[in-house]
Amino acid sequence: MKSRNLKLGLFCISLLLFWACEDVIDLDLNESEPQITIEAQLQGGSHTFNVLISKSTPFFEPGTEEKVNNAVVTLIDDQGNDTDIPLVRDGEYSEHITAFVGRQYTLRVEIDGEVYEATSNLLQPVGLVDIEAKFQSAGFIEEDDGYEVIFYYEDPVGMDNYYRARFYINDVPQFEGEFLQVLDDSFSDGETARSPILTEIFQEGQNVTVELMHFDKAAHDYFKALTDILGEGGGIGAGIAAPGNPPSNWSGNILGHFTAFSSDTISIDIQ
Amino acid sequence: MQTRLKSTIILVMMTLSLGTYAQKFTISGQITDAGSGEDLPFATVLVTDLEGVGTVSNTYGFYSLTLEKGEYTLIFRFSGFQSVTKKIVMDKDIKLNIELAEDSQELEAVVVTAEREDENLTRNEGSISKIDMAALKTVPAFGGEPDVIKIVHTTPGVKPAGEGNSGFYVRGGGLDQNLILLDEAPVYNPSHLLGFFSVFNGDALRSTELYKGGMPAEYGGRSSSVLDIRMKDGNSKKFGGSAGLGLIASRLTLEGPIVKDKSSFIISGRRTYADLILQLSSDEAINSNTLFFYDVNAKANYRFSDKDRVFISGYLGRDKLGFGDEFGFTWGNVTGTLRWNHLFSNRLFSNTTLLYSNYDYKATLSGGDEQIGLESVIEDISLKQDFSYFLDDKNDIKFGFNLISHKLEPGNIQAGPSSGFTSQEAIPANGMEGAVYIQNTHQVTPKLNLNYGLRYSFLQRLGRGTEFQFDNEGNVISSTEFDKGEEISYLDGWEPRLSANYTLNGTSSMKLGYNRSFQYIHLLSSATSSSPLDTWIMSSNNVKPQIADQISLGYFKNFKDNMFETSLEVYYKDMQNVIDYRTGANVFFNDEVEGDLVFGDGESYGAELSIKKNKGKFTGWLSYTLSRTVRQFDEINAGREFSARQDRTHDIAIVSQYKLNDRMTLSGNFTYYTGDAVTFPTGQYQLEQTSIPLYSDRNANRAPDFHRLDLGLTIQRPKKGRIESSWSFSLYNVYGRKNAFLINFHPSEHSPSVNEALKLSLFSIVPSVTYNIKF
Repeated sequence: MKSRNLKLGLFCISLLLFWACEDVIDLDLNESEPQITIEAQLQGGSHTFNVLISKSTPFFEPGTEEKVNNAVVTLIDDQGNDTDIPLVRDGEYSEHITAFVGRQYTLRVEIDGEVYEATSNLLQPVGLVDIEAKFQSAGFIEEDDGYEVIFYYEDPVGMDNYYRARFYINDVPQFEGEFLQVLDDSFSDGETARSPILTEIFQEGQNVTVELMHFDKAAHDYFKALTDILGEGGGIGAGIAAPGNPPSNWSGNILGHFTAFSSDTISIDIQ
Repeated sequence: MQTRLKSTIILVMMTLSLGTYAQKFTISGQITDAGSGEDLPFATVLVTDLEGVGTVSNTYGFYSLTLEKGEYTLIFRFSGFQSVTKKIVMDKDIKLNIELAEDSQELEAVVVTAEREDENLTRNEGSISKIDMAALKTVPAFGGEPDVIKIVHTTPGVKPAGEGNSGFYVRGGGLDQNLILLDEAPVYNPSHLLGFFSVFNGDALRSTELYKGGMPAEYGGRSSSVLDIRMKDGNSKKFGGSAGLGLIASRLTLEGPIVKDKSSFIISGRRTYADLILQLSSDEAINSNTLFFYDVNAKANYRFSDKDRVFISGYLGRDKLGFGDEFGFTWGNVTGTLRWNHLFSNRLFSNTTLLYSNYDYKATLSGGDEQIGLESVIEDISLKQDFSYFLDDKNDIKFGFNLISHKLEPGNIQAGPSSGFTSQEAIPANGMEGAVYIQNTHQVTPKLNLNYGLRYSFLQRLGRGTEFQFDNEGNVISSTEFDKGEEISYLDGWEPRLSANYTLNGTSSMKLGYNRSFQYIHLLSSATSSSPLDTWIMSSNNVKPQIADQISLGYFKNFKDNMFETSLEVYYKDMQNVIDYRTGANVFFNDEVEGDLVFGDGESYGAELSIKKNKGKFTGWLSYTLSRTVRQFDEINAGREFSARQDRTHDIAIVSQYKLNDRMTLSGNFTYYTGDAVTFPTGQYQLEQTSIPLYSDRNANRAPDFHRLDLGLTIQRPKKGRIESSWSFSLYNVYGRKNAFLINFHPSEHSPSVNEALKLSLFSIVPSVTYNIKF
């Protein structure tokens, strides 16, 4: 959305510096105490609900996660139902859950005597109505020839809507890294909104599925802050105005987010 | 009987004293450069027969001195010029215009003068740094383009924003707290090409002055400083010009009389041609790109009579970047000034100015048949009226007002039909900013000079518009609509000002300054360094004006018959209603941006040392600032105080010139400063199968220290008739230090499970050659 344009703009300006050199440098960072991260996404309908719990590690050490295996995880809805979520793998707690649109869900996690809670509203799905593939020749933004995939959805009128778009190639989920695509309806309220899959080019023969997640404002603010951090990596001269951890909906000083969402999908075969 | 005698005596005495009052006369006139006819602002006029009596010419070279009947010897002085002495008989009002000839020792040009004379009369306008434009010819410049802003950066107390950036911080204040004026018109973005060059073409400028503390009441609008840049009027005696041909940019200036001694003009233009070099590349990804800037300065003036003079001046500049057809970005400033100087009497001088300033930027993205344009504009129209009343030999009073109509259009979007976005025009924000002031420069005793004043300022926001009301988390709870012309908010403040100058003896003095300033217009930056995408907003019921209170104390001493000028100044500044952002704030094209802002306090203090050598083969100056600046916001860093980004403990600038012989001058600049206070990650955690940097305290880390050495050599060629030419060679960043411009934290490219810190630096060694001519 807006961030796409301006992100690209800033990206281009920084590319402009063709005299610029890039060097890997050694920096002394003040390493903080390990912090707990709880990541959970509850999808409306009948699906497997996964809760990932881990701890932070020093920045320059190779990506070893420290997983938490002694947590007690409970999912509670606003009708008084609670469900235990058991540990199934290292750091992963999982259970098959039927989640209902219109309810407010709370995830309760107890670790070492401390209780952390987060709440999220499960909203209705927003329908994807069309998908198309457009051929793009190599240019500045894309280095190869390929197809741009564009999807269309019906934004509900009169309320503020927040989304995230994920995509799958041949049913394999793709992780967008710094191009996490977070959308809102400030420019398209009540209309058929249109968006390309950001900076991704597809090839003939691929089957591309777009999933449009619809969630509340807290989830949007969280993912948007995450795109800012991933996009620029922080540090001096970064594109974000205020480097800080994304706003979490957890009580206590916990990283991560509990997101209740509904989604719709649509696919296209590129030929 | 006795009563009658008493009354008679009283009557006679009153008549005598009335007679004494009646016998004061005024001498006034214009002080100008004998060679070009340019006004000499702030030239001193001293009465040698009376201690502590004299005056200073105003910005337009006009002086006025009221003395009792008698005979006097007056000395007219201006730095770099030969003094003129005149014997006068004050038995009636005298009109005396003075022309001063440039000092034949001009090559020892004093580069930066904290305008301090060794006589009793000093210019008392707070902490002020004056830049001598002659220095621009020899100080090594980036890419061979002499830049007055780069010289401002070397003043003590001034910290450059960073490489590739023309902005600066004054005494710990923010980037938007400096009012940059070109012939009284505000310039919103003084940077070309991301700040590698400023928008000011040195060939067109006459004077540049920076007020950083104890600001007189006539200045206001930004809370940290005022950079007052004045264009030359143009040589009113003969036609001439200058040109420079360089590797990166070229410039041409033409000036001359329209009517000899009555009217003159100057026009100056500049263009880079970096894009022409790009087109030489065979790589299509490079040669289809655009990269250039140009600027034009023009001015004309006409002296109708001894009492009236009209000036018209303007600036137009544009920067353009483009990558093929896909991305284009352009920005630019336009300023215009129409000014009328009028003498109501030989003691009352009036300046009436009508000003226009416009800054806009536009970004366009196109891909196939999609087209999106994003645009932002800020436009000011203002009226300024200033009076200088030279009351008597001890008091110069100034008073006046100004009104600025601001129109800010922070974001218009033009979307093509297939782009998927709807076109949107943001409702322009309208405001009327104004101020009224009065000040007096008072020579209290021969040793003590006081400049005291009061300024009242205000900002009135007017509709059409929407005002949002927010809760403590920045969410909109309600909004109010206003019709065109309806008042949305009214904010105001009183700004007392004081500057005291005490002469200790013939070679030293002390200065005390106090000022309170309000600021009603603020810059929101996307990045932590300024970029052309910056957005300006006005104060409102949600955004209170920034307030700064500053106190400073300085000791000034000259050594060896003014060969060395030294000063030590200490300051303390308290800032209120400083602006910062909530985490994840969106500052672009956001009607509800006020909810994403947080407000807090700032504090800065420091000591500034300056040593200048003005005479001899070796000249130059050293500036050293030791300082601290902090901020405190309830919503940031858990309410704990943190270092401001620009908290650079040490800041050193050395600028020097060595005259090898009559034709060759070697010059060198050295800059060193402590790295910015920044927020680096303190760990990492996993989300979405990606490593995310973990942050904790705000600005608790330091970027690497910045330092750089530049060298230059100027060779003056023998004069051929009217043409003087010279070669300037410069080497920027002589030892090739790669100073950090950006530091990013990313997973390593070859081992994605390991994070690394990547430093992006702009320039290594950059040589340049420029050929200059003057005719």
